[in-house]
Amino acid sequence: MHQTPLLFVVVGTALAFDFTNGFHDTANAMATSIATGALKPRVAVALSSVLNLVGAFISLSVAAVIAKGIVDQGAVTLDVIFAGLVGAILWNLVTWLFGIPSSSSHALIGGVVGATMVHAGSGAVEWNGVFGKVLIPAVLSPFIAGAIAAFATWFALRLTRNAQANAKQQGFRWAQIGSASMVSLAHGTNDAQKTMGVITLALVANGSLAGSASTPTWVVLLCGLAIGLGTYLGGWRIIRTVGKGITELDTPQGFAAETSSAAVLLASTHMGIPLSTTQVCTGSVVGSGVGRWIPVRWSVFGEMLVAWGLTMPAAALVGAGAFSLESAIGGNAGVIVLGVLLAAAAAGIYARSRQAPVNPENVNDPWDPEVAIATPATLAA
Amino acid sequence: MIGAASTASPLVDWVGILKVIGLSVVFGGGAVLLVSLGVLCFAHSEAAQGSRRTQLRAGAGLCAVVVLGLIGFGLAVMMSKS
Repeated sequence: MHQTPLLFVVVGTALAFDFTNGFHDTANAMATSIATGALKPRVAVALSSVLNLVGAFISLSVAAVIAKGIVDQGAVTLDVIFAGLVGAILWNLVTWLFGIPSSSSHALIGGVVGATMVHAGSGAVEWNGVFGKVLIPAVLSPFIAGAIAAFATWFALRLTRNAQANAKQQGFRWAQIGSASMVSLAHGTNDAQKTMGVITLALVANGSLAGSASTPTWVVLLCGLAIGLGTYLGGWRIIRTVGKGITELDTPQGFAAETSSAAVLLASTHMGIPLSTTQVCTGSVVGSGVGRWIPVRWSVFGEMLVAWGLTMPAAALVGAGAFSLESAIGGNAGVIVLGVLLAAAAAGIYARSRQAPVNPENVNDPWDPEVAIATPATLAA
Repeated sequence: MIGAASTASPLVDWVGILKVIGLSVVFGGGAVLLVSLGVLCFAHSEAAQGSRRTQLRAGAGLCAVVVLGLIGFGLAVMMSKS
């Protein structure tokens, strides 16, 4: 396939990934607000959507790290990026089906790394960048956010323990809306930039952009719109897991969790260290349960940890397989076959999800204590 | 391939991570403290009378203004990175 048509395919696929990133990660900002009733579900996702779009324009420092620190740009072709995106999208969709809040960032990085390894060998992967700039900070992030959230929750509850209950709920409700809005903004800033980084990398690989050039404005706009649209459609399955599955949430707790998440995410953006928004926010929710001294469903969190551990290798495996298939077929046919397979898999996963839909009407239904994770089968039961 | 500059740099930017933790504690903890104090003032003002009520409401308002300032500062820092 001629490079420029393939570039369009890659940019379109990257935006599709950004869209899945949006609905996959709506829970990060809004699950607690929806669970505590601070915001109605549809209002919450609409607010989050707008703030994601705005956030995409705020900073580009993380985009630069993603594009330049993970793989050798000289070894990256459009086919590699396409295959990597296929791995990331598929992992995002599978985890969404099961209601697992896994990291879209790790899926993206895993997919690209896997495809690059098949194409140019492991030497083309900047392992120092993968481990030092992404993996290790991301492994630490849920624990950092969790510790801060635990302390913040304990502190907020301790300080306001003698306050009149209604006034307290009302005050923290507004504060929670504000802090969730900040997380949405930070999410747009952090996560939209990752797709911007991939598209920039594709433009460089195609020769359409100099390696030292900054991210074009049209890329920023499209990425902001794609993640905003995905956020608006709302990943109700994951919202349910984060808001109802980990622990019971009230408004002071939700406020403390969201504020901790916002602080960690904004600080990481400021430092140019790309943390996983999902892991930060989930860690904060767990920490808020600990800080309130109420039961945390460790089985649910444990399954999330397993999924987080599998994300990069699984996406890398799919990315590598996708690149191998594309290369084996070769030319236009390879790209078309891979695109058709991706679309068919996405349609199949979506159809499966319709058998046990989670939507604004049932997202806050009581959590079955016997259920570890919100599988479609258990939701349907 | 990994360039000389990247191999010479430390594997993990621990200083950066510590700064993230420090900033998160300062700004996150500060915001939680201010909001909690504001909520406390607001809650007590509901039952208070006269000048005491006014003072508590003013305290709650002051906390809200400082929190908004904190948010504005955070946004300004983010935008300065672009």
